[in-house]
Amino acid sequence: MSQTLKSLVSLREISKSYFDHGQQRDVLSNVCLDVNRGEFLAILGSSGSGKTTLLHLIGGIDTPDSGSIVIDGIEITSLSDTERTLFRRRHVGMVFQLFNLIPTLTVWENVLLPAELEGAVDSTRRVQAGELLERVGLSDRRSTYPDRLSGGEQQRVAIVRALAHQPHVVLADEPTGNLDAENSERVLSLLLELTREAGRTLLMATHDHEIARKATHICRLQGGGLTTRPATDRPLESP
Amino acid sequence: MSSAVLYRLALRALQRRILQGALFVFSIVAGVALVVGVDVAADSARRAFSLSIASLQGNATHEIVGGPSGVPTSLYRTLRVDLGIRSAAPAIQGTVRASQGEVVLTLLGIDPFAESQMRAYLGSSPAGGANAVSGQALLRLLTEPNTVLVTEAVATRLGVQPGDRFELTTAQKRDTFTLVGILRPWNDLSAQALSALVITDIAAAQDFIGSPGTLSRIDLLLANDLQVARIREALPAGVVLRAVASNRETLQQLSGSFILNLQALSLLALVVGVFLVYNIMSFSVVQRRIQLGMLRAIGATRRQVFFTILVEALVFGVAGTLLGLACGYLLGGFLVDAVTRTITDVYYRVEVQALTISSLTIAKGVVAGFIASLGAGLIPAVNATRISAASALRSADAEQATRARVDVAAAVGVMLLAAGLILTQFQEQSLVFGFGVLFFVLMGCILLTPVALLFSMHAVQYVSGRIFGTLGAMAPRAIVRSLSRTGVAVAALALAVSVIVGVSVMIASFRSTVTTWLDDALTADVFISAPASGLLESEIVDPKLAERLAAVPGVAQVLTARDVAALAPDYPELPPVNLVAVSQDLAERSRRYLWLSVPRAEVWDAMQNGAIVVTESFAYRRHITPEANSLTLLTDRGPQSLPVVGVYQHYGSDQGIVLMADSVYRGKFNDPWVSSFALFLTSETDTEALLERVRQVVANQGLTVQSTRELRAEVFTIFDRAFSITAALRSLAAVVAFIGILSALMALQLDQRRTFGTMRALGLTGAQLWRLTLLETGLMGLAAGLFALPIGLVLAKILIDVINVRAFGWTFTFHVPPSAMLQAVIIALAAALLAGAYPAWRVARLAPAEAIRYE
Repeated sequence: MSQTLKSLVSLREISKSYFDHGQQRDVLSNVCLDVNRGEFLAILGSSGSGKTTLLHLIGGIDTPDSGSIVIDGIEITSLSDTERTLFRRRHVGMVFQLFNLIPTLTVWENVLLPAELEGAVDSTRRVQAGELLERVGLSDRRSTYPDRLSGGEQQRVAIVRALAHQPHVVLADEPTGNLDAENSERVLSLLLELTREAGRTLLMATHDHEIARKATHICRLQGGGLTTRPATDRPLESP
Repeated sequence: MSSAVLYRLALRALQRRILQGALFVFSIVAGVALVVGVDVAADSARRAFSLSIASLQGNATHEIVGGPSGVPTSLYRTLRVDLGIRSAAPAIQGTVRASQGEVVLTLLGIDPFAESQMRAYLGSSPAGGANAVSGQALLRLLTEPNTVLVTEAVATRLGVQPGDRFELTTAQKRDTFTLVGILRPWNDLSAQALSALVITDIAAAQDFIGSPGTLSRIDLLLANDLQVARIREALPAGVVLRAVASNRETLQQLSGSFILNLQALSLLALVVGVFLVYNIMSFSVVQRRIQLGMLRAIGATRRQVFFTILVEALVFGVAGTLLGLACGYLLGGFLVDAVTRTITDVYYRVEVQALTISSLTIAKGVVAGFIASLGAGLIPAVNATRISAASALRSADAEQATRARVDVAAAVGVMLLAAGLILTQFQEQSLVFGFGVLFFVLMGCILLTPVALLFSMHAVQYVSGRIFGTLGAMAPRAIVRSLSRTGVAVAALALAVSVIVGVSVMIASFRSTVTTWLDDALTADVFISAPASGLLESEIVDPKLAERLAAVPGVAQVLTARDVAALAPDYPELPPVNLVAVSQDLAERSRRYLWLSVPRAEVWDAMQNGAIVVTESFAYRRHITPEANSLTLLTDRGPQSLPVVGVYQHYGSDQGIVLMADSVYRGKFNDPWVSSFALFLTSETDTEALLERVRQVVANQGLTVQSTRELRAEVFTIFDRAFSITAALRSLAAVVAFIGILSALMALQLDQRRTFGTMRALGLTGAQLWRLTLLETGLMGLAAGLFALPIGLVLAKILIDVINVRAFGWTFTFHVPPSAMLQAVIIALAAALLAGAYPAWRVARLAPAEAIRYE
């Protein structure tokens, strides 16, 4: 991963802190990061190191205290809340550790939700979403509500939902953190396969060094700072 | 595990959810305050009435009373001289007006020599202190004509001081009196008792308000049954000896049904409150299911969990009850004016000087608050004991359990409904029984609400999905998914709105029936009568006035009516009979009879031959039927049985009326007076001009002259006033329901927080989320409004056919104004949307990053 003007995701001097019982806790301090189009970046770090916060900042669902974030040439840190929401709707896909499917929507409605919010559900989108569901083996569960699915199935639906509206960036926060080994493997394979085929950029927060090995680049969050290196180098050790 | 740690946990949970706690307390406060407030107002009115009777009757244990013609003065002499009864005091009592009719007072004419044992305020104080009235004042009362005594408070109201002269009027005449002394009550209680009393010498009273040779009554202080028996033997025809206490209770019954109706309505508000508390407690348990599951896993027993939740409810309940008692007392202060006004309009004159809160009322409020809190907390507490560590993490389990409970609730609802409908077929006359039926049916309907919500939301999702897309489909599904919250909230709102519908339809039906009745009854053009002073007091007017009225140009015919209280010895437990003797039947052709035992055209002939007709409420209270068709009245010729030839609809008095021909009345009672006049005008007469001419004729008398239109307007003013408290109470029920729906929506919002966060993360804007939340809210409001319509109509039907018949003996035509239906749906929708505005505003400002992490 090189710092070029063509980076799809570019973070400059990002800082973020929280107040906890009156005490300021710096989660991210002057973090800089560049991710190129089509890359898979694994973000490693211990619990509370700021992995989720970093993904939330890139996804525009949270804002940094300082610094700028540019995605596909758009500086999202200068956008209003509504503009960030619209940006996210169009350009970002998200996969959460706890799946976060909408319990009152069926599998099919969940998958089409981002496109529907955008008012862009056409036959092409439907066909593509249908194909993605087919790929994850859930095409026969379209009318099922999430609480009738297993954890692995729910996460597969979440992956399809993250990709169905063809975002530029997919942000995955510990996507296998709540799954058993077998399901983890299957979900991860699907996520990597589908993002690679679609040429999407994937940023994934994880604890798992085995997963990180599959990434094109790896970064580690520690003490609010970020260190990055290509995955082909020796893996970064746990502290 | 020590229970103390559980209570500490409960306390911390409360600290985190202070708003929920506040809503719990508010629900109990509102319910208890209404129950206590109505009781305080009713008790204060009853106590004021009781005190006013006590002030008039003093220490008397018995009284001798007669019918319309009163008690012959000669009887008093017989008692004292022939029978040697020294503790007897004659009294003449009547209503008088002062300050241009603004101040209504009771004039009591007494014999000061006979008073020492009877009315203590004329003697020395019980503590042996100074005399309440100076000896000089009493001497002037005895020796000077037209002299009176009043309390300081009355003197202030009249703007007079000792030595001042002021005018008093009756329907018959106008005269000037001199204030010769001030009555000094020993305490607040006796001050209240004397707050509307003017005392004069018996001779002056007889001249001003009475008939020569007659007394209103003789008060007696009797020591034993032997004296009672001796007096009874000496009584002439037409008078009776009765115990003062039993008569007081009988009179109190007059307003009993009115007050019981208000109490029942306040209880309905408490029931709405119970629903809300149940909702809040249930939600509190669901919120803490993980914590409770963990506690169970590490050794907390079911019993400990159960009591933790129950104690929590109890703590809130105690706070709510205490506040409710205080607020109830304040509310009572607001309600008492409306209650006393209606009692004065419809039953008897009463003025409340001070609010009374009895220990029974406090006990009632405490019991209501505790039962509501513990009752509403019981099911959530039991549910809390069923939470296991394994199920705690699965929120779906909680909702699945709710689904099961919805089915049980629906089954219980059907049973209650069936039981209530079966009970309506019973002829039991008790009003409490009627309210039992009402409660069964209402609770049955309300328990069916969650299942109705379930089905209706399933149906609605297709429609709203088509109109609003995926978000449109989400709203009804979210309502179904959180049925444990939404079901109870919608039920509470539906209950409150159904009360609005039911009471509105009942009032509209009553109003419509009264309108028709007035059209039929008010056939004359002008009515002249003494200002209304309640059922118990009738004023006298010289019948010669009829001749003067007939001489007024434009008057074609003058009819008279004599309105008196007569004694019916067969019904000692009921108030005196309101007997109306008419010189001609005004509404002969238009009157609506429920039954007649003679041809309609022959009713007046039968009446002139001694028969009577009675109103349906009179017949209902005395079980008069075509078979049991006679009534015995104590006349001046002794008890006489009169045949009842018909029962007719009449809405002027819930105690009912006996209608008699004037010629028959005069033959039975030595009463020369009349009470009112009805004038028929010649066709070309201008009513307004004639009213002026008639007012000049009666200028020296305290008579009210009204055209039909004015009388009609007055009837409806009284009607609306009588229902003003009902309207206020039903609005308060709606406020309680509004709070309930607000708490349910806040709970729902908390429930869906992570979902909302996810949706924001997926690209839903704050405005879209706001609209989604309002759609959920609107659907709940609409559902509650629509469910409330059939429930409200059933409620109205029971109020009309079961409650009103038992309370007042009235039947009236069911009339459903479409505006009331529309209004109910709008109220429900508006309440829900208004309640939803704040939760929606909060949702729109939800920080998605935080919400996603929320579990």
